[in-house]
Amino acid sequence: MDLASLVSCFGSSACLVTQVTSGLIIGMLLFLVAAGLTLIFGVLKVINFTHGAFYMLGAYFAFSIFKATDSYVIAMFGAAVATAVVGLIFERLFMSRVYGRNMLMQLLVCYGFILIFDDVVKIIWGAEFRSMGMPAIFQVPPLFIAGGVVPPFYLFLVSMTTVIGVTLWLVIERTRFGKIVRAAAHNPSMLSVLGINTGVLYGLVFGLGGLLAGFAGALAAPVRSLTPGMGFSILIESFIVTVIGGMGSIVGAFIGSLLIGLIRTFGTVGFPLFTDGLMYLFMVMVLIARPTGLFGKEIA
Amino acid sequence: MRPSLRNDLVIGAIAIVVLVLLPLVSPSKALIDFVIRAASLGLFATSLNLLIGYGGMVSFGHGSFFGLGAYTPLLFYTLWGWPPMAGIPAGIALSIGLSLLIGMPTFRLTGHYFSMATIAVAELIRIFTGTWDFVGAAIGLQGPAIARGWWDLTFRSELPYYYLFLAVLALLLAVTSFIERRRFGFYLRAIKASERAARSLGVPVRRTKMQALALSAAFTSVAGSLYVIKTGFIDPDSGFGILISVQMVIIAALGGAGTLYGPLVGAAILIPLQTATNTWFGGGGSGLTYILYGGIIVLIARFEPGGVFELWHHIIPQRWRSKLAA
Repeated sequence: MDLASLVSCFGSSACLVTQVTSGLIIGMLLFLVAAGLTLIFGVLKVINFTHGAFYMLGAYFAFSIFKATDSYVIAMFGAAVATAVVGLIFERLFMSRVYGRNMLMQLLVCYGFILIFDDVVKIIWGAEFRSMGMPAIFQVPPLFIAGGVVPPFYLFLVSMTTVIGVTLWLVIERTRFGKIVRAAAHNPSMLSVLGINTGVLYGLVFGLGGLLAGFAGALAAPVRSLTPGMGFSILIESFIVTVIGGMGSIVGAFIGSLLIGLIRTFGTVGFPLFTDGLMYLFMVMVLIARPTGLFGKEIA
Repeated sequence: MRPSLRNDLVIGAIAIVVLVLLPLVSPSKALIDFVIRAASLGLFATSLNLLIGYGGMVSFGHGSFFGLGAYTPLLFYTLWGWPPMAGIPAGIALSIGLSLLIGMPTFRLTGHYFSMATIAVAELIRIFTGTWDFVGAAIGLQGPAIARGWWDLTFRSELPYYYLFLAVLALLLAVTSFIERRRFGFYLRAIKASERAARSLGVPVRRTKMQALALSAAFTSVAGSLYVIKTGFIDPDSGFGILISVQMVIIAALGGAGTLYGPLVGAAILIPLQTATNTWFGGGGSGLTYILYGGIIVLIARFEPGGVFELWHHIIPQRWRSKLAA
């Protein structure tokens, strides 16, 4: 434990800025992954254990597209769309066969696919660490905000994830598609009676989840090293986020992600050996206070 | 579906005869090794099956009990030089204690929230153990290298382990089979089907869940103790690690959760798959290893959603089965 450095960090604006920005980076990436997870759960009532693998695929797709086109914008959107297609196909061909069955069977299908995706990545891109490198536009001197060092890419990442988050919110709240999605979360059989093809809808929701995870992977690619199995830790973290925020709540996922991001960065300063433990401890405290998470609905 | 006692007994009796005679007929070391590994994983998965298969409570944190069972014998050995065997009852007691402690608050949680709470407990224990020098911190603990006597249960030959693991496994299966037919087993299955309906019909839900968790924790702890007595070594990751807990759920689900022999079938499928895919495709986990491994799991889940053990009902004709069950 290193409480002294935690206290001194709170006393210096430079340290605060640095920690808060890196907390935001972790939190916003986590939000994109957790939002897809919680959306899929809200509508389909299944837990997509392959979501971490989607994030990994997004990062590797971005890596290859960037190498081929040398354009980060194309890489980002290309990776997101490609991951969305993977999500859509995965849902239509496999997940859709195990709905309404035991949760364990969904876990089995997902586990099988995690192994398959990890192995495919190993065959195509190799087992060793890969690094995409910072795109040329962002290779400029860092900004200094209140004495804290902030790389320009961090600003881009935070604004990009904010744009994606706001767009997601608008799509869910303000469009016809969003209305259908919310209706499906509420009562899917009534929806299909009203003439909506719920099968297609489920595929699209999975695709949307894949799109978000793909964006997260692509945005993480310049700042993280890529390795098969990189999806596992973000999967566990986004589970924690969905539990803290409440399963099925996108607002909850947002708040939960930011909290986890900040806990991680300030935890590293104050409790270097116990950073992961802090996340779990926080989750346990939330569950004791609210058994369905901060924004979860009471399960009657 | 009412489990048929006669079927279970017939399968069990045949298995016992075959397995007891196996080392006498075939001294193949690989085969003996396989049975020990399957029994070791099977012990863990069968203990977990009591909770997730019959009770429908999916715990991803059973590593906490496995780890307690594994750490206690080696801790006693390190501190006082006691034979590791002496730590087994203490491990059981600690695990039951922990299960009571976590059962009270977590049973308020449902589904995913319950699973995540169990992960949190196991991970907190793992992280804590990894920083605590008293239990060897990140390095872990070691058992006796050379046996001081038979009571250390450290053998050069594999055969004593073979019979030891199988005997404990047989005991656990007998307990599970007994529970299946008792009121307790019916309570559990009723809770799994619908907790609310069960409660309204007078099933003591909390007490039943608590007992199931404690029983499952106790046997998981024994599985951990036996594992460590054979390997003679434990560290935080191999004791409390999240991957082990998840893999046990996979094994139970693959074979058929909620059936007596399902978890064993799951263990028996996964072990050779891991070994075979490694040797066929060049080892080291490269190439197609996990694609094949994952593909088979997906196929089973996709086409045999009750787990492999359900195949029984497809392969063996109805007439036959009713004759067996009669």
